[in-house]
Amino acid sequence: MSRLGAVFAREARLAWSGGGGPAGPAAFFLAAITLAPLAIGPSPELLAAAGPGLMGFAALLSVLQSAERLYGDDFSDGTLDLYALSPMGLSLLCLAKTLGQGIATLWPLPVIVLLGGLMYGVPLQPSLMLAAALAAAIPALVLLAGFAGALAAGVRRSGLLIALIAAPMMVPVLIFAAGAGRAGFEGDERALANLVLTASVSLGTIALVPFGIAAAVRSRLG
Amino acid sequence: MLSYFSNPQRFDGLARRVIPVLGVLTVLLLGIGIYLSFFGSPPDYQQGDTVRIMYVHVPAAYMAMALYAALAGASFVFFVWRHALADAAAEVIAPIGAVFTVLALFTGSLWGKPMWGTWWEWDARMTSVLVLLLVYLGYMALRAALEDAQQAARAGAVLAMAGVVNLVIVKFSVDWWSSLHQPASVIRFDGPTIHSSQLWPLAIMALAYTMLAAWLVFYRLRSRAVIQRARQIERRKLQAARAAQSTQGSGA
Amino acid sequence: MLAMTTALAEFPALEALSPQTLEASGLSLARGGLRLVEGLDLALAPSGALLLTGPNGTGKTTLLRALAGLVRPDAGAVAIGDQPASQVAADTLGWLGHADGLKPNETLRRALRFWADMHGTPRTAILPLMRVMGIGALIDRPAGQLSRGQQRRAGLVRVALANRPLWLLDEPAGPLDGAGRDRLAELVAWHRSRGGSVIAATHQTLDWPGAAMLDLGMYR
Repeated sequence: MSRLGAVFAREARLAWSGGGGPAGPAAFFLAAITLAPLAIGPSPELLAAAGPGLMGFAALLSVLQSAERLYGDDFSDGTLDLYALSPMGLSLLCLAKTLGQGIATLWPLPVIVLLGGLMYGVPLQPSLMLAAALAAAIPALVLLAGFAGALAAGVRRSGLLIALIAAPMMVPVLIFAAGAGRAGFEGDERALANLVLTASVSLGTIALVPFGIAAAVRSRLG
Repeated sequence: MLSYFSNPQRFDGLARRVIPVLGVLTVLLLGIGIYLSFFGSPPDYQQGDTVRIMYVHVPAAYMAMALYAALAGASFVFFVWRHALADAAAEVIAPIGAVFTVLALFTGSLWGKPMWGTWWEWDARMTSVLVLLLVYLGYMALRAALEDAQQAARAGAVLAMAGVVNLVIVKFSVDWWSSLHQPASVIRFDGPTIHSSQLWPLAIMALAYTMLAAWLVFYRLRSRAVIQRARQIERRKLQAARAAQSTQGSGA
Repeated sequence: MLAMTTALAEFPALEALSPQTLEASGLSLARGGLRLVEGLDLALAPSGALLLTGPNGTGKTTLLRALAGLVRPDAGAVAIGDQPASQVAADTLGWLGHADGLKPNETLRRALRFWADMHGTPRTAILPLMRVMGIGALIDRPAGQLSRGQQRRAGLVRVALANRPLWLLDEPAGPLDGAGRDRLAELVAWHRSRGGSVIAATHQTLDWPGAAMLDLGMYR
């Protein structure tokens, strides 16, 4: 248990201090939701209706944007070899590592969603619902990005490849998380169901994806 | 059986016999199937002649999914038992499956125009097939990006197997997603009720597509093996040349 | 010899090693379709040392990775004790790859504390081992500010901290200067005196007493 905590803390610390930390995904997310109305047009009704879905999509993009960092550096600087040879099971280690790094860099997203709700004229309640769903979705999003990142680690310009691999895997989380915000906005009673589904997909990925990441890491080291 | 055919010569012997048989079967079945689809079956009482698109569309969608199952199955066999032939099959199946997926999407769109009044409708089935295409593309892109053949094989196998779990959850979530959407005034398409006069051409076309896919897979497996053998001979030459050079150089 | 005995006194007292034998039999390895090693047998007893030599591209790194269980050989097997290497690697191996596994923004103190914790070695061993390798003064410097040689020394400290009986080192002396190589030799001598064993791939001539040599160039 203490090893698990040590990996989590180290990865969170490294992600926080290196490469801009949480500022990168936060800035990207803010830029995306700032530019979208300029493309869609300023109609308040349209923006409020599209807002929850748009923000869910923008959050997914900001996770993908930072996904290259998850395993790329560790692959080239030899850390991944050491992790694979460490006395801790590799899947558990990958879980701690990915979540540590993901939470350290992505925690601002649900906060910015609340701000975005104001900008798009989404009422507070659906905004809160979306923020909660996004917070629940972050473990799933970052683990799936980690799986793609481990498969593509060390590949030149791996960002695009990671996006292509991870995008279809993120479909369910996107549907449920953005769906929570959308249903909340439309006054649909299924908002809560969407939130619960988001959380269950997240729990499912926490249970399953670490084995996939470990297999991906091993396949790339051998 | 697979380990029996992992011997390249044995596989080559099999492929040489199987390829012409599959070729003939494909041409024959496609011929019969196309005849039945266009002339040997009545127009639908509701859809008219547009129902004939079904005979090229449904088998393509079925092949898109069946080939992904084959890709994942081959990947599993490679991952567990390390048979090189299983990996070769996975590599060869992917682009063929992707082409069938594109065909399914394209014919689906053609069919959608008279059915829905739009070329593209975000219905659950079409969306799932679109995601399947992305999965195929991701698999091929990963294999293409990894230079080391062994790494490409293993990483590809891991991704292909994960894709199965993913596609199941995608199917569920997309169904859920489209049920949230209020049904619009366009005709809801829930698959035609199959009449026996439509069943025959459909079954034969499905069989013809299967033979076509099998033919292509075997053909590409064999040409891949030939290319690999040529590369191996080249490498051996290079290695021998280098060895000769280094024994000369070691005197210095 | 005198210098060495005084240096030995500065080594930290770590939990005793449980010495292991390493045995590879009938090992065949290929990389990118090229056969590197075919039917290789090797054995290493506790306190032993083996130097892998040979020109670039002869498979020294691949062999080390196979011995560590990271690469699965095309044929043959690697055993540590009487277990397959891939199963017990984590509890028996100290690994130094061609990269040191350091993070540019992380200080050596933070990094080495982490690895000490991971391997259950007391943190008090960090500074003495760093002094042995002559980098005691650099403990609060981020790895990115160090020279390649200093990074290599830090990597070697990490290997020693793992307190594992079997060291696999890929070009340990690559970027080291003369003094660094002497300190490496002392570290290895200390390790072997405790029953540990070492396999190192190297281009330099490393003067480790009683070390066996294996020229992989022969296998080409």
